[in-house]
Amino acid sequence: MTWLTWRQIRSQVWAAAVVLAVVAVALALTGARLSDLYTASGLGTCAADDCGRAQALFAAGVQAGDLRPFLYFAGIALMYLTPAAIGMFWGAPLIARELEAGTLRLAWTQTVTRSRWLLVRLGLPALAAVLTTALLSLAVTWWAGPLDRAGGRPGHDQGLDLPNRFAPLLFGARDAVPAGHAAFGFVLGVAVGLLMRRAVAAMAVTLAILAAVQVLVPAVVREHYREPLSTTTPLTVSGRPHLVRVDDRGMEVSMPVDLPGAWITSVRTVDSAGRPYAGPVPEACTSPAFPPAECDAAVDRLRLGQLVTYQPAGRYWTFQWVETVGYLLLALGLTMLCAARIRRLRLS
Amino acid sequence: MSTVVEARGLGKRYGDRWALAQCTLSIPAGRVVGLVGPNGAGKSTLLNLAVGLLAPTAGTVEVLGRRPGTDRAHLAKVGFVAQDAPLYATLTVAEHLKLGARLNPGWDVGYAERRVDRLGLDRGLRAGRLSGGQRAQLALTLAVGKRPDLLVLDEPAASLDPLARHEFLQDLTEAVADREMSVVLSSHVVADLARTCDYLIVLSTARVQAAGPVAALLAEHAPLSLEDLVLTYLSRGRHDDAEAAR
Repeated sequence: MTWLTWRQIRSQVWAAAVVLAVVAVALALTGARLSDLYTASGLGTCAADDCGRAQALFAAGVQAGDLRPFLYFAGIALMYLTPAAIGMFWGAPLIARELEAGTLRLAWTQTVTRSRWLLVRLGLPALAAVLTTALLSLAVTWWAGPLDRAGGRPGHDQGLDLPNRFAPLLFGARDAVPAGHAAFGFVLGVAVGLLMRRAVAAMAVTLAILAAVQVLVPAVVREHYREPLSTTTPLTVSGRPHLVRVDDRGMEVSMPVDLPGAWITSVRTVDSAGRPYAGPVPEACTSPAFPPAECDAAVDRLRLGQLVTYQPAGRYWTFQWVETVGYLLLALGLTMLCAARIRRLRLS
Repeated sequence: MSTVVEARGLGKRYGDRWALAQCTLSIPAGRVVGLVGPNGAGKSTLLNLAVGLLAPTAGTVEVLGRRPGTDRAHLAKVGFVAQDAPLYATLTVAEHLKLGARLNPGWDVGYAERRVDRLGLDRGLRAGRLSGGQRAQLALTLAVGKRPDLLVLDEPAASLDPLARHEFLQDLTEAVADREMSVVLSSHVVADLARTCDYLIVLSTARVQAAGPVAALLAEHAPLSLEDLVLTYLSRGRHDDAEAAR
């Protein structure tokens, strides 16, 4: 059974190995320089207040290389596309194509039980999927490491202003999560193919479901892994960078949040008692007759606060493992669903 | 007389349509048994139930004294060539032989190799590029190569042209001749069965219309030919159904 499975997936495995090799070479050739730039800029050792200069120095160095922005974003795209591609091209046709060709009637009348057939037929490609994605993620995470660290250091808005690794876009494209996601994508494809019995239709449905999951998990699910922390800072805006927005519904005031490496989940303006600020809006901020400084002073007099809810940087790995294990458990659940379905599958 | 397949009240339903209903029959061991009946009589369903690819909705079927397809030991004893002889289109002839060897502990290497040589199959050719006759031959090689006690063939010659069909059945007779192997094959072409089988079961709308050694059946109904004999039974079955419906 191992031989047959290997024979059936070997071209896919070779394709994955080629992708892996190309990515590894491209990143290895450019990654060391990035790391040197980070060290030279002093970003790793700067004290909170003078990190701005180090950020600017690092940014200038990074932007001197034409390929780097491309590789940075290509790396993120790769980590989201790989699990989807694995689900579509490895998972969905795995059983659906055998059903279409009728070859299960050949396979299941050899001296192999259905459970063993499923174990090997599913287990080996799943292993290959997880291994491929984990290695890709390792390479991409290593390469982007200096950039992600810069995003998590003080004063990151004075340099490249890239998100830190805890931010929704990066979180799913770094470290362990992509591997869990690949396992889930693969088994989801298998299950959809088994239910739909048509490879091409199953590929489309698998892609649609995976895309929906990619949007829903960061947008709705992830923030609930742990209760967020919150902090309120006084909005004393005169002479500091800030933003005042006035519209029909009232006024919003915000200042840059200084929580390096944290995932900021919400920022709200509250009054001195801690309730959401609902006006009245000072006249100095609504009438164009007043200079901006008058508005700032009026805002200061309101003694507003900025309520920030966030997941601190130290929870990054907790969140990584929660999400990875979550995906793996989903994959396991789907596997058991497949096994139950296989046992009663009708073949004519 | 010992039996290889024993069905009691066997039925299989898809949605609200019964593909096979209330089928009770015994297939004797040590014979080449032809299962004949019109399209839709449930022959294929019966054989798929017998090899464990389908699970019955009603009744029971025992093959070689056991419920089919339950464990490896039982899977090893039954060889099966499914309708249209499915093979892996991208695997070569040689790889199919390797598949047979890897997946069956009782694999008869010498037999399989000799047979492929004699058939003149190009080992490097992918199964998808074989002719219908060659595909059926390769599928039969796989099924016989695992040295089963019971060989089940579901319309093995249905898609073949007359010459390929003749060769296939000839070949089957030879493959069976020197083995302790019971054979069940289904067909709706009586002439095919007349050449290969020594026992006949006539199935019509899932009911057994007649069963017995070919020679005995012929002697009993002389001077009818086998073809006429089967037709008589089948039309009788249809007549019974019409009666029952009324």
